[in-house]
Amino acid sequence: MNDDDFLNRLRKAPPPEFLTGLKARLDRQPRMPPERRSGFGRGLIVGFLVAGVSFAATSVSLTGLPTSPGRFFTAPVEFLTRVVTGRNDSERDASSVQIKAVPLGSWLPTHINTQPASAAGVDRMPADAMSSAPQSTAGADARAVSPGPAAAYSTAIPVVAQRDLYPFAVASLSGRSVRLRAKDSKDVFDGMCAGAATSPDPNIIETTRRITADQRCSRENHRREIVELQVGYQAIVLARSKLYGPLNLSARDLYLALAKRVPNPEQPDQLIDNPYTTWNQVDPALPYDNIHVYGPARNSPEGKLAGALLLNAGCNTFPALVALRDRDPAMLETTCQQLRTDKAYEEISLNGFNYPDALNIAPTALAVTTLAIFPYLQDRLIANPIDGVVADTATLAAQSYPASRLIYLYASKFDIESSFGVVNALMAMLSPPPATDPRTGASLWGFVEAAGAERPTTRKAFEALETVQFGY
Amino acid sequence: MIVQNTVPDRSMDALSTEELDWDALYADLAPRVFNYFRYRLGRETDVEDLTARTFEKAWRARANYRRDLAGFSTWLFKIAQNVGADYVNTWRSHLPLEAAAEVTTEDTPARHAELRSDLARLAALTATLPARERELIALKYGASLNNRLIAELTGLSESNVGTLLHRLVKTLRTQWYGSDVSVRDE
Repeated sequence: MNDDDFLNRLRKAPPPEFLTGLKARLDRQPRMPPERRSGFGRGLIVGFLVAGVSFAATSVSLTGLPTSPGRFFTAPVEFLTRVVTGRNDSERDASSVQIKAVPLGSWLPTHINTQPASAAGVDRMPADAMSSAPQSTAGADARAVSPGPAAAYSTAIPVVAQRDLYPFAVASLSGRSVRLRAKDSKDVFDGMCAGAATSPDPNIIETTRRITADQRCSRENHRREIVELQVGYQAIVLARSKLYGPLNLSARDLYLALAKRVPNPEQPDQLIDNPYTTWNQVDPALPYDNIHVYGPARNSPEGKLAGALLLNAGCNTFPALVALRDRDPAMLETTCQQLRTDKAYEEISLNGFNYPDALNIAPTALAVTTLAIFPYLQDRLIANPIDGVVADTATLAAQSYPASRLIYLYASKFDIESSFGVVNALMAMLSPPPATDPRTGASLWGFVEAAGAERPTTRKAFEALETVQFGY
Repeated sequence: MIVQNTVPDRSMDALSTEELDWDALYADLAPRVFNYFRYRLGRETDVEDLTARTFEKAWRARANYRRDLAGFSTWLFKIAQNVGADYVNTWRSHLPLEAAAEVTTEDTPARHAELRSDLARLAALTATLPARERELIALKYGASLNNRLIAELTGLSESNVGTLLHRLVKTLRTQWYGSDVSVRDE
């Protein structure tokens, strides 16, 4: 077996009907006429002109400035005569003007030629042949996603994406006329009810926070009817070696084991730096093993997502922390999403980490991975359940797997009915994003498409969607 | 018509524009462009469309192709790279990844399913790689280009291409097979 056989054998022949059909279409295409190749002729003309001008300038500079138009044309002849006959200065008429070298600049035109070179009779050199290969328009399209000037409000669709979903939104909306802003999850619904149809306040909101009655608009508001759509899930899997079996972990255990700050067991309404080093300290029913979890770098987009998914569910089991939500939502997010910075959580490179080898030699370790990668590891690893639930499409759909969350899209019926742009943007955001954010190159790690979710493909279908029942 | 992947024929590149056999070029390059997009996207959906777009752009302009400036393969794959970049940035498929229906008289359904799943597996493994590395894999193993042509297309030196590919293959092989396969240094 050659080293790269596994890559070579993935090639396959295109379908024969595709090849023949494409060839037939190509043969029917009108062929562009070949460009006229007059480069040599043009070059010859330019060469003569340059030589002629140089000769005239040189000859006149040596024979003196012309005192009349007639002298202008006879100066080159005089120069040639002098060269051929060998006449020197001493034979010149004493009354003639002393010959001086004249700066060439005196012969240059004093006006600026504003006409293109071709109009002046001097053609450009042939263009680079690669200009026939079309250039990418990617750069211009990517800029359309950035916040634009006030003038863009009238045409660009205002979209708000939760800050940690911003890469998804960018990937989905690239090339579309939108004004995309990132906001903390506590602020995503701000402005949803405000303004007219052309207001800068958001027409579309992408968030993992489910809308509640607290965000509803007043009964008289034109945006009171809100539709809710599901984009997909973000989920992580905790992998463990088959040799050592699963740990009976709850979401609360994970939070206590991996959060940077945890409730003080003596005073639960106070937070302390995480003191736990073994699993049995977190839960006496767990073994006396070191806490050791491999995962993506904490400050990377993948690491921040892992932090949110590993910790949020367990954080919400502490009443004191939930009460923080009312007092200081920002602090709650920090507390419930920040991973500890000691060796209990060990950063790995997602590119090249050998999950089976690392976990087989570490009996107490777990490793963070995704549902896309795990199937290729399951011959040697298991997916550790959390709260007795294993990650799969069914448990994601039921929202029973703690280390996952749903991504929602919200838009008002009013905006859907009054703007094609809103409908088109919604359809783009409901499409599966590419594996990689084309703007940043970062992978959209952890995303799982919501199988069976509603995906309207026409404006009528969007208009027919049921709205969220707020119970006015 | 059954088309097999072939090694690039240098003698074809040495011919002048007027002498090029366009039918033979199509037969040689169409499968390679097709597989370049399969490897680059990591799926079957949209591959035929992108292959068609690449050839439509190139075919109309082939009369203006300047043989003295670049080999035809390089020129065609530059077009393919631009088509791919435009697709990634401006065009979205509304179909799920597994929606493409494949009909082939050569593959059994089991072989066909295996190919698709392995391609998805490769896509999952390369998803975390930088775009440059994914491009190298697609050009080398999808398009079957040699390192010299890859260097022209990517702007890297030929030796750099070789080194990068060697490291990439080593890493991917470890991830593909786990540690059961012994690694043979080249």
